[in-house]
Amino acid sequence: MEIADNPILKVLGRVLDVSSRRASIVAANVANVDTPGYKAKSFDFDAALAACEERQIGMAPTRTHPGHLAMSLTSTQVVEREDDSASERNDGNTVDIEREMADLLEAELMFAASSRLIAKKIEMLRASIS
Amino acid sequence: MSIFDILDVGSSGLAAQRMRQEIISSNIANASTTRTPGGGPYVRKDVVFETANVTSKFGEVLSALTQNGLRGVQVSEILQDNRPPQRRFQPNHPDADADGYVRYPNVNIIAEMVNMVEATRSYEANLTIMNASKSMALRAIELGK
Repeated sequence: MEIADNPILKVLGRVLDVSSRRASIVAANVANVDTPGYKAKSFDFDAALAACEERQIGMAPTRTHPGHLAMSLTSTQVVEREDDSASERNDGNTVDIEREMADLLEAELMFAASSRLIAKKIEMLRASIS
Repeated sequence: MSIFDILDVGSSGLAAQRMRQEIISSNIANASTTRTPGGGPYVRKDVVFETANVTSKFGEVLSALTQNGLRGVQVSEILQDNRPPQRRFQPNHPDADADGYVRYPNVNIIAEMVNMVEATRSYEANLTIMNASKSMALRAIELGK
């Protein structure tokens, strides 16, 4: 087993990535909490999961034209929140501040948990080296 | 979008809400101002927010221009509230018209207070997020230790 190619570290690294991505979505939503017509964005886990599965079984989308944008993990997974039409305000804004705070808390906890796991993993590697 | 972009988005929110607070404080301070350089009573002002790019990186701007991009906020303009001024009967006031009525600004103190609380809460929410992402970044720095 190569140390650098550790699958657990890779997965945990993805969790860090996704968590900070979610925090950035929350930041954009909260900054625009008073912007008329702004639609709250959220992280699309289904798209993220599909992207991961496609990569695992080697069915990543092919670019048929050089002008096409690459399927990047950053732009395809941010979607408008769909179930928020009920909480739309008169100015067309759909940001729900409590929900954003809950999302932030979740992202923060996931980040803390996986960063602690990574630290432990590195500690174990170090222990086995010395 | 990196951790610094989160801070940029957050600070754009802070700046916009602070600007709103400034306008609100100006409205409250001038709630009884009957004379202005332009003549007539003070006219209530209000801010309009719009989404804004917080980065100059091409890729980020491109993704922000598409529907799914994440964007900060900025004050796009400061509007004047064109509702008519309140008329109060004060015949002894130096600014009273021929009928004895003084035109006072169209500022509703209670509405301004509600606005102020809203702006403060939004400011705090932005700060909370900046603090949270800072602690996440600090935790990531600690990883190798």
